[in-house]
Amino acid sequence: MSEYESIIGLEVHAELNTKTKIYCDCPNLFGSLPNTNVCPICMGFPGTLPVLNRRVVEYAAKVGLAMNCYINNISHHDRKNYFYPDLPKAYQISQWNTPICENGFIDIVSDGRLKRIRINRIHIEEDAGKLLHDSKYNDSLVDFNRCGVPLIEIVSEPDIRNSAEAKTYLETIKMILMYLGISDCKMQEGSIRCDVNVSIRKKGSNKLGTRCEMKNVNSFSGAVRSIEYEIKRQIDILKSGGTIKQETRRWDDAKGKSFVMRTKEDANDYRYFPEPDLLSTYIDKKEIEKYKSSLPELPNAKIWRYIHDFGFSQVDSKLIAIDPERAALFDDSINRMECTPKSICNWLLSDIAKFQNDTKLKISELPITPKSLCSLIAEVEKGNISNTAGKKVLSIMMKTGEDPLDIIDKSNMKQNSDAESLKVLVEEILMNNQKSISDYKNGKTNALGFIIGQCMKKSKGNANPAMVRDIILKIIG
Amino acid sequence: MIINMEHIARLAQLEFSEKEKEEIYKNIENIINMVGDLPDIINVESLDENIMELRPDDIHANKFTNEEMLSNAPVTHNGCISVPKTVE
Repeated sequence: MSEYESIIGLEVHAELNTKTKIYCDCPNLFGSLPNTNVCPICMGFPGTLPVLNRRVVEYAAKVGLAMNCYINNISHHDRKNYFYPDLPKAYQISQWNTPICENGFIDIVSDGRLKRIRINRIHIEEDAGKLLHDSKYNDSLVDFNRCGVPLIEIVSEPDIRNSAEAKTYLETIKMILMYLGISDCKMQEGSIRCDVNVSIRKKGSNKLGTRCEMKNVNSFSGAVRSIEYEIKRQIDILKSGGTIKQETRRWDDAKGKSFVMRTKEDANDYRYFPEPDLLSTYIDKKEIEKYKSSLPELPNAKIWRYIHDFGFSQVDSKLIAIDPERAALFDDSINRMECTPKSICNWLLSDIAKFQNDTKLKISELPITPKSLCSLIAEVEKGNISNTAGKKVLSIMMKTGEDPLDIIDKSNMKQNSDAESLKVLVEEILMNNQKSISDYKNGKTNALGFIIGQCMKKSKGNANPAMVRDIILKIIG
Repeated sequence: MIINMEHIARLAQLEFSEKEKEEIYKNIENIINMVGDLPDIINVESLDENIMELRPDDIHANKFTNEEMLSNAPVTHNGCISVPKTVE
């Protein structure tokens, strides 16, 4: 591995969650009965004409802006011809020479560092239908519901160097699409898919090696495995004196292997030409400015800010940023400046995340607000209640939506952090436990725990344990 | 202009007899020559862009039933169009 480096480029296809399809007003829905969201346009009947959905253009431009692309005021549509039963027109309307977005980049946080991945282009196109195979039925069945579902294709430059970076890149794209609210990003429904291009070269060389493309990569973990498999396959070929052939391979995730689909000789010839059924698409400069100013702070920027400003780990930062609602709750809580960022992070990622996991509720569905969360955390930080009591208060808040201060007042949870009264308590306990004091002085450190335990019991659990410990040590230490 | 009939036929997934190939070759040659005779557009820049109207993202659902949409298909099964077994 060491003498070679790998060069990876990714093409990511994401389905957009518009109400209707890209060139007709059929509903854009997943999971309907076969061929129920279809019309003569998306089934490619002769004599029909496509009419482009405005929202698709808007969404593509927004993604482009989020990925720092140049947005073409005028873009064109082209026909990509190929023959397959899931494509009723025998061509896909795509964009070739002038896509909506070009020349962008995204900064991903990989290994605690920022890494810039350039984006070559983002264009819009239509999805194809689906072939179904039934073991009891000899022929293939075609469901055209997915035909005409709007897709964006995000094409990266070959700036990715290993499978871990590829995974982070894919996760970052997914997070950005979630933040923009333009794609459901459900991997299991195939709403994000990718093609992977891999080549290798000797380290230090600046010539690109022959690349192989892998299709049918349907999950991020599949992308990682297919990249690692392909790097090893190519290195093995070079080491045994062979040469890499340019080919398209099909990734079989179940087998963990890829197989040759097409060699260079029979590479697809798509015969792109300008789509005669559509004119040019125009996006007004003012419109672009409007989209630009409405962009939220993006998740990759958030991750970097959390690492940089608060000293969080990359893992924690990502766990907060990955969910737009969690990140909003975190940021709003920070802005109240009532408790430390680290505490908010801990509460969000431990108790609250656990509650969400048990109940399958989203942050917005929980009866907590930045205000109530902060006042709970502040009570714990000030030592007014113990951490354990804080967890109890939170679970009551989650059930009743009550204010944490009311819950604390009503119950007996308020922690005693008053030095004077704690001293009285400790003195009383010490008086009655002379043996434990001498045990402790004779080196039995367990005895200290016993004394603290007695104090806690006497106080019905309300004494501040850290303070109790300090007072005991001051007296007997 | 070289017309590679084998290549075009393969892309279209069609098979032709030698006689058909000759005929089609002549047809395609005629079409290409006709297009070649069209005047060249010299100054592309001067052409106004033809901008199209876009459609609002509004649903007009259930205009066609599954049965209607499949009524042209020679073979259907469970609401799908049946095609020769195809596995890539």
